[in-house]
Amino acid sequence: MRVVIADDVMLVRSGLARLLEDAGVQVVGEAADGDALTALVARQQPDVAIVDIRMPPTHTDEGLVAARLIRQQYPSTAVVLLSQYLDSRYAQRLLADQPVGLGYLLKERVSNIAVLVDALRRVTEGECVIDPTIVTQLMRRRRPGSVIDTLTDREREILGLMAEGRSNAGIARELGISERTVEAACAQVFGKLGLEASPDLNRRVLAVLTLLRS
Amino acid sequence: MESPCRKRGATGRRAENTVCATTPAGDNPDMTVRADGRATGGDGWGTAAAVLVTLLGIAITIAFRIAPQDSVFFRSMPVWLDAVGVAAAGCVTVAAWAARAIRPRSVIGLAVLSAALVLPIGGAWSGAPNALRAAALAPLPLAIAAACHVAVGWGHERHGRGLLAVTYGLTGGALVLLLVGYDPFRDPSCDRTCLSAPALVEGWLRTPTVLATTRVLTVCAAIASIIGLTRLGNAAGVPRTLIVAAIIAEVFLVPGVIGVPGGLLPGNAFAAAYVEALLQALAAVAVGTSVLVHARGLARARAATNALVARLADPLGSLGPDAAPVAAHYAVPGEDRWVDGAGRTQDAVPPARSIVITDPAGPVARVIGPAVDADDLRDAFGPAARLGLHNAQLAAATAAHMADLRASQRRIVTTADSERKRIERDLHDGAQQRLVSAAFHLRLARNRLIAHDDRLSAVEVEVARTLERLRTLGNGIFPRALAEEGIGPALEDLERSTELPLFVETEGLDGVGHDASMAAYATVTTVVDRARDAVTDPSIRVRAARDGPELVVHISATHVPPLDDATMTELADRAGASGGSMTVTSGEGKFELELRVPCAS
Repeated sequence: MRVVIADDVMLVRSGLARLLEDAGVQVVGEAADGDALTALVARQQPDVAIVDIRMPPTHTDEGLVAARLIRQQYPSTAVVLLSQYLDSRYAQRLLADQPVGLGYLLKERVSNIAVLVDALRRVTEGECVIDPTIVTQLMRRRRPGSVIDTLTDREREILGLMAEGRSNAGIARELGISERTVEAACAQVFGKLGLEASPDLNRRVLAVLTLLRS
Repeated sequence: MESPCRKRGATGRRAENTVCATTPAGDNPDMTVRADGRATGGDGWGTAAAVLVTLLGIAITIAFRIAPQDSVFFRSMPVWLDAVGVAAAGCVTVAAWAARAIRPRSVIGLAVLSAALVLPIGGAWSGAPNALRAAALAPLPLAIAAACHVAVGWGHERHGRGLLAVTYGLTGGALVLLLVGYDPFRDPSCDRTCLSAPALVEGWLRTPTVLATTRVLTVCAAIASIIGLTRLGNAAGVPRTLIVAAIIAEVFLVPGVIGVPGGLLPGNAFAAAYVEALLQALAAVAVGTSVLVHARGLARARAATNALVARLADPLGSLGPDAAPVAAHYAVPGEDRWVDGAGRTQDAVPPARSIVITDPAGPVARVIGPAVDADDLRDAFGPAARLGLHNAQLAAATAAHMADLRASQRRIVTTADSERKRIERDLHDGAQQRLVSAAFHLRLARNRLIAHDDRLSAVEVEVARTLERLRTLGNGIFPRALAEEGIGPALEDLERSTELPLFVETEGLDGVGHDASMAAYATVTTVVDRARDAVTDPSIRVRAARDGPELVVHISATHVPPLDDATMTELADRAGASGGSMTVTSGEGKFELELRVPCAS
């Protein structure tokens, strides 16, 4: 897998690059701001761009702007956004817009390289991955009358894990239940959310989208 | 009577700074002026009685003149006495009218005085029953007490009550004695009406005894009254001229009661009676004139006060509609700047377009407008308006200082906020980034190790925890969402990130300024932080919405410990710095907080 990294802090950039290379991921370029990143993506056409949300010059949402641009102009390049903060509003805005091939993780979680590598793999497959902390927040705060309210506690838990990018097997392991039970529960969730029968992956993304928009 | 302070600022070209707000000396002990300038109190009945009685006296005199009937007294009365009598009656009437709304108690005294003097004249009318005619002669001694009443009634109500009681008691006693035991026919000194009217208690009291007693009582009353009046003192608030007039009146009235012996005056048989009548008329003139003078003085003082009040309210408005200035600015004492009435600092104005009003302490105000002539302006500024102008200047300067204070308060809050922002940025760009990269390198090091090392894992866990702590800490110091997206998203972020039951409702928060947002956010987070100390399940409901030009944040906290005074002061100060306000109402296990801050700040 070929990735590029965009972060304005050199230490973070190089540390992350070495970690990824250790894990067998090929880092084909590094950028310190949004413009350099888009140029890099245009040149390298990587599988994934790992992007810090806050970059120069304003340190607000440059990474987000770049991510949107990349997803529009280079659909073959997935994006994993990294953030130091719980910028769930930003993530929500971007993901609710175009969740396919997008991930959002807190930077502090990335030192567990396995999580990042797993997320990279999932976004390249077209899924969306959301940091568990944000999922927890989303599950906690629901607008009254939302369709999510119709789900049972267990179904909500499964939807949350789905949003984190877990597979059925992963969810079964996490909850200590059988994979068949998870599949049945997923079908229930899709039904309640009004998602018609379609490829499983697509439905998973749509379900997460419903959660994000609730 | 003139106030010692009546020079007008307008007489000189140099601005006059003496302000004359005093009224004629010694007057005005208990006057209250309402906004419309009319005095409170007033006694219509006293005035009506005084006016009626004196008019009646004039009418009776004229009637006797036209048809003298059987009254030898009136038939032979000299014409000059008519003139004096009418003058006295007129004087009392006009005085009673002038003092009607100013000193009602003195007016009652005047009414009694005129009644006591006029009724005995009526006794000469032969058409009435003899008993009634004799009774009409009895009130004369009351005139002594009435004169005293007029003077005492001018002063403070609580002074001279004893004096009035004594004089009215003594003369009243004389009146009663005359009513029950006086037969004019048996009066050796009778001069005017000497009819036979057998007294009610003829058997017990002989007329000479009654006369002797009433004379003693009357003289005692006069002496007591004179002593009492001279001792009244300044605190009583009775003008000296009124006291002197009352004493003169009493001295003039005594001969009429005790009777001037006929033998003293040769010629006309009625000479003594004429002298008595003349003295009585002069007594009435003395009292009436002094009342009139003082009533006029007070009325003038009131008019001046009203004019002063009117000019104080709007000193520049008194320039009149033709010369209406375009604007008026005031100088801030001790500073080189001009402010308007609301305290807002004003730009410089070309000297040609403005007229500066100065006094020895420096500039006071400037009037800006093409239609104002400098000389007209100075003429328009009498002492009263000048006082008003100083008043307006002080008010404007105070408003300006308040605005300065608020601006400085706002600067303090802004400085504190930007400092928090800087700390948050340092935390993020410095400590947090370094720690993240340290975590990466730790992981790299661990990957390089062949054997698993628990100590390294423990350090990794610790670093992860520290990062998480730093993240929440940074957000607590300064929420980025607030600066970047405004109060609505920031509150929603807070709602999402807190583990407490916080319910946020926002509505139409466009255009809410940074200061207002900061004040609102700080207030909400303070209450949320406080809720962490709750014993039972706390719950917080926040509603943030715009109400016209204001941001209104309503916080309803259940089972949240109340905020301490220092925290409340801090929040109120922050709101105040942005020109807002905060109110807290607390009840059973619950408190409601409402914050109102102007959005534009």
